[in-house]
Amino acid sequence: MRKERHRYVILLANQEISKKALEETLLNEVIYLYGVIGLSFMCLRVVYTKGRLAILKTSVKGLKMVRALICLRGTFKENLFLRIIRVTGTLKKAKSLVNSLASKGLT
Amino acid sequence: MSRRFIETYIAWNDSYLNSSIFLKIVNHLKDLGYHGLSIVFPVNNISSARFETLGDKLIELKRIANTQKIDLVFRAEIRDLRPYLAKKILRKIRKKFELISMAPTNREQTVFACRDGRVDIITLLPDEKITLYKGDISNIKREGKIVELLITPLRRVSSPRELANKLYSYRRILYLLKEKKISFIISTGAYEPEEVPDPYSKAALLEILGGFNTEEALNALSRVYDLINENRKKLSSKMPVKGVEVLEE
Repeated sequence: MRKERHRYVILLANQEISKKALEETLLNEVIYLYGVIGLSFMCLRVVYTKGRLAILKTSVKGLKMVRALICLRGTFKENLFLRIIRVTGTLKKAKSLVNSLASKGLT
Repeated sequence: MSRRFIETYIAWNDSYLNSSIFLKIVNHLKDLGYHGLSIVFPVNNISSARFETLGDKLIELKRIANTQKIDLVFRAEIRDLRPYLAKKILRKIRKKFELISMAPTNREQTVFACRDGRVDIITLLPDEKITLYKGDISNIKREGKIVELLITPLRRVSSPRELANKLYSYRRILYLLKEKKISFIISTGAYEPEEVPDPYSKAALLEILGGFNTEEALNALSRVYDLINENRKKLSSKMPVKGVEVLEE
């Protein structure tokens, strides 16, 4: 069986947010929009956060759904705006990008 | 030629006259991957004067956007006006805006928006049960108009049921547009620039809602540029009538 491929989405929030809070917010939103079956396609997980930046792990199929969710919902709870900065194929690349953005003062 | 994305709907706010705020907005859109931005002025009897009082300040805004390589477009939006009033206003404003759009709320306005050559974009709102009939579709195609769908009405919902109804309405329109090969665009309809998503997210929404493939969805988002270029030629008298262009030596 072929191993499932994933994508790492780098998100920028308008405020500092913890890993747990972001994951909870996104899970609630995904269930609201796509339901539990939709969530099962996505394999959604927040793997890393640094200040306002976060890395989200999702399946390749789920990437489209994550993008559509962010586009459709716009504002999440407590005036939280999320913006997709970049999508990468490896966690290593995603982390190096986040660290370089953080060093430029984006956090 | 590479795709050029433009955010076609950001509502006008007087705070944009502050050049540092406007520069921030322009940079924000540039970061998101846009090449252009269209600011919308709601036009009716009273507020159409607002655009005229701004004059040179708008030229300054264009200059600021150009320094960041962002194309700034001014657009007038006619919403909920009887056709005879819309005609009066169109006569007044057609030479002042690069894009003119109309958001019909009933059948009478829909017919007018599809038929009148001065209207470039027809904004279909999910709350209004607007149906495009055979004649409307042939008018849209003949005049080369673009049908626009807005994201903001989908965000301002109070219940999942309301969201589902609006999504159903959009899905119905998108299938019709796809079947009849009508050009369309999806815009944010934002009052705050932070609300604007990146073009790839908009394309993903189109893919999920309308069943388009990625190429089709991305092409749909960049098609409005042809219309803007054509209108600019008309405004600078390089295109005296449709289909005739005066070329420079």
